Amino acid sequence: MLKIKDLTKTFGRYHALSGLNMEVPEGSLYGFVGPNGAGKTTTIKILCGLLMPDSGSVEICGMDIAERPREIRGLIGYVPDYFGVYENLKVSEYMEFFASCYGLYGLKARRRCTALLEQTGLEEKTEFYVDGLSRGMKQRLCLARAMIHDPQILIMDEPTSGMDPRSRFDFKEIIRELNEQGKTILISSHLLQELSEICTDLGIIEQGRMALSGNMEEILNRVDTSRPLSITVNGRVEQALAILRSHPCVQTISVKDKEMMVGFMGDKQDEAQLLQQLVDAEVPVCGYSRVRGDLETLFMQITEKDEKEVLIHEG
Amino acid sequence: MKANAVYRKEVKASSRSIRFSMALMGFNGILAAAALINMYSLLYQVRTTAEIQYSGLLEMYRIVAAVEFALLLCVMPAIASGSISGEREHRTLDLLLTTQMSPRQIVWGKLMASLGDMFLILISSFPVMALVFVYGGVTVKDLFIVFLCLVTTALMITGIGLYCSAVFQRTVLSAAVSYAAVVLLVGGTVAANRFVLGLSTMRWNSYMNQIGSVASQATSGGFQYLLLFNPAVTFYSIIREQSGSRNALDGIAGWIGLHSEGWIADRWILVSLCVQLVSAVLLIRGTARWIDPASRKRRMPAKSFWRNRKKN
Ligand SMILES: Nc1ncnc2c1ncn2[C@@H]1O[C@H](COP(=O)(O)OP(=O)(O)OP(=O)(O)O)[C@@H](O)[C@H]1O
Ligand SMILES: [Mg+2]
Repeated sequence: MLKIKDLTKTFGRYHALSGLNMEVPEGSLYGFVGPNGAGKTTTIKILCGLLMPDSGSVEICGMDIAERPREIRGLIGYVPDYFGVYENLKVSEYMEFFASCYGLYGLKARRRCTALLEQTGLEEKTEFYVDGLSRGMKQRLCLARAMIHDPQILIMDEPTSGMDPRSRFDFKEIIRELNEQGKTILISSHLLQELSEICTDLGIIEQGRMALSGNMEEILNRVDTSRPLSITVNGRVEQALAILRSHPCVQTISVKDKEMMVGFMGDKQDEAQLLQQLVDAEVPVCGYSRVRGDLETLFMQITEKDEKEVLIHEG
Repeated sequence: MKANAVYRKEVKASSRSIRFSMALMGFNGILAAAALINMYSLLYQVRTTAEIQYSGLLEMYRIVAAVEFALLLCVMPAIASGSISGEREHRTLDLLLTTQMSPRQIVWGKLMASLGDMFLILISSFPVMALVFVYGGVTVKDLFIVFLCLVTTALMITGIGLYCSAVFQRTVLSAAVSYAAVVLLVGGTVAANRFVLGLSTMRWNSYMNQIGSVASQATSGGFQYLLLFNPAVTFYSIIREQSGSRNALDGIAGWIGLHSEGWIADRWILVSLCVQLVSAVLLIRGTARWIDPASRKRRMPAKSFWRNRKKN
């Protein structure tokens, strides 16, 4: 669907992107995460044709962005990290204006606008001036605007920044809904936790390079395996410890009362087997779970590691 | 064929703002005042001398046309110089660029909107202009040529305004530079000619002192062709010609050192109108090029460009 290969972009001497590789599968909800200044906005602007890359290629739906920019613009809906609104237009006029920018006029345009405003919960605001909307509403209006030409890919740059928890939730619901309708969505943020709830795929960008990317589940698993297994028993601790010590996947054990933290290098199958063993030995297991992988920690690990690397290079 | 989307939006948005209506009223107010004062002085003369001076009526035509021209020079930069930078300030330029509108279409829409405003100004001033028909002496053809000159001037100034608004990030700066450019165009070209003529006259004088003749040979040389870009000179020539002068340039030739003979001088009005139209087209195309991300590989806002230059 969307393929980026060795993308580089420099501003003066500053390397904003240095060989970015990225692949967004069709129908996915792709979380594009990175700290401030990592190059998210730069990447997104290149995708939308607002910036020209220095080198590298971008392919969207099999078309090269440099060769057929106009067709590609028709496939992309862009929600920037700011609202672009006019003072003197009403919500409906604003929508119809952008519809006409895509060659949609008259009744067809009006129907489409109404449907989108309904979907984003703005149907009661059609006669309001755009300038007078609240932040959350403007953000939803921007989303509606980006959807006006029914694009295949929706690209959003930090859409939830500055929203309260309630609008954040609503917004995520809308996004999820759009994704279920078959839209491929790329959404950038520096808040990992927020994206991890809804995304199917994830890419972590760091200093203009992809630090980690892939399917959300795989990544979470990877995070999980580095996390301890938490086992709570209601008695017969010694027996449980004996079983654990003899298990090949177990690496470390720490006991605190009836709760054991086990460093466990194994997959789900191994986990199930261990539980079976414990139950067979009549250990009263009342809690058995991986400590939930915290993406934030992973994020910190990745970014930290890079910082160390940089230090080593410099020193 | 649907009207340009940007143009339609501009019309809708500007119809809601009172600014343009106020400008229109001010414009016509000044124009009407100029015409009425002139008419009053004419009638006063008739009362005291019992003679109607037709030259006075022509004078009125000239004054009204000149006021209209001057007002256009003052108003057009203001209208055009916010076109692109205004979109940028609203942060909608990038949004427009990601739609199916090409940069050319966007600029075209902005141009149409500016020219629409200009036509409104011109047409709304027709009643005042029509005063000059009351007593005759001016033909429709005369008026048409003046109209053509006004439109050309407006086009060129709109071109300048659009270009500035694309190059500069802020409307304030863009407007300031546009006005400076207009002043340079109208005053600067004349000043340059005067200066060169002055140098040339000095040379001729010292030369002639030895021979003992008058220094009427002095010219400003190639500099005079700069005046082809000056809409005020074109306008003046048109009015001169319509007032019955044999050569359109006679009036200013001595003053700024024009050759009033030669291929170009003979067709001064036509050539200068063409030159100005071509400059307008080039400026407008330049505007579209400037905002097109694809046409400039290292597209950088002017500001960060300078920042980076300093760093390197
Ligand atoms: N027009 C520009 N001129 C010069 N440098 C720029 C320009 N745009 C971006 N940069 C630089 O490129 C780097 C990446 O910027 P970018 O906006 O892509 O970061 P980001 O990942 O979107 O960060 P944030 O989370 O803060 O939005 C930054 O260090 C920034 O200073
Ligand atoms: Mg950003």
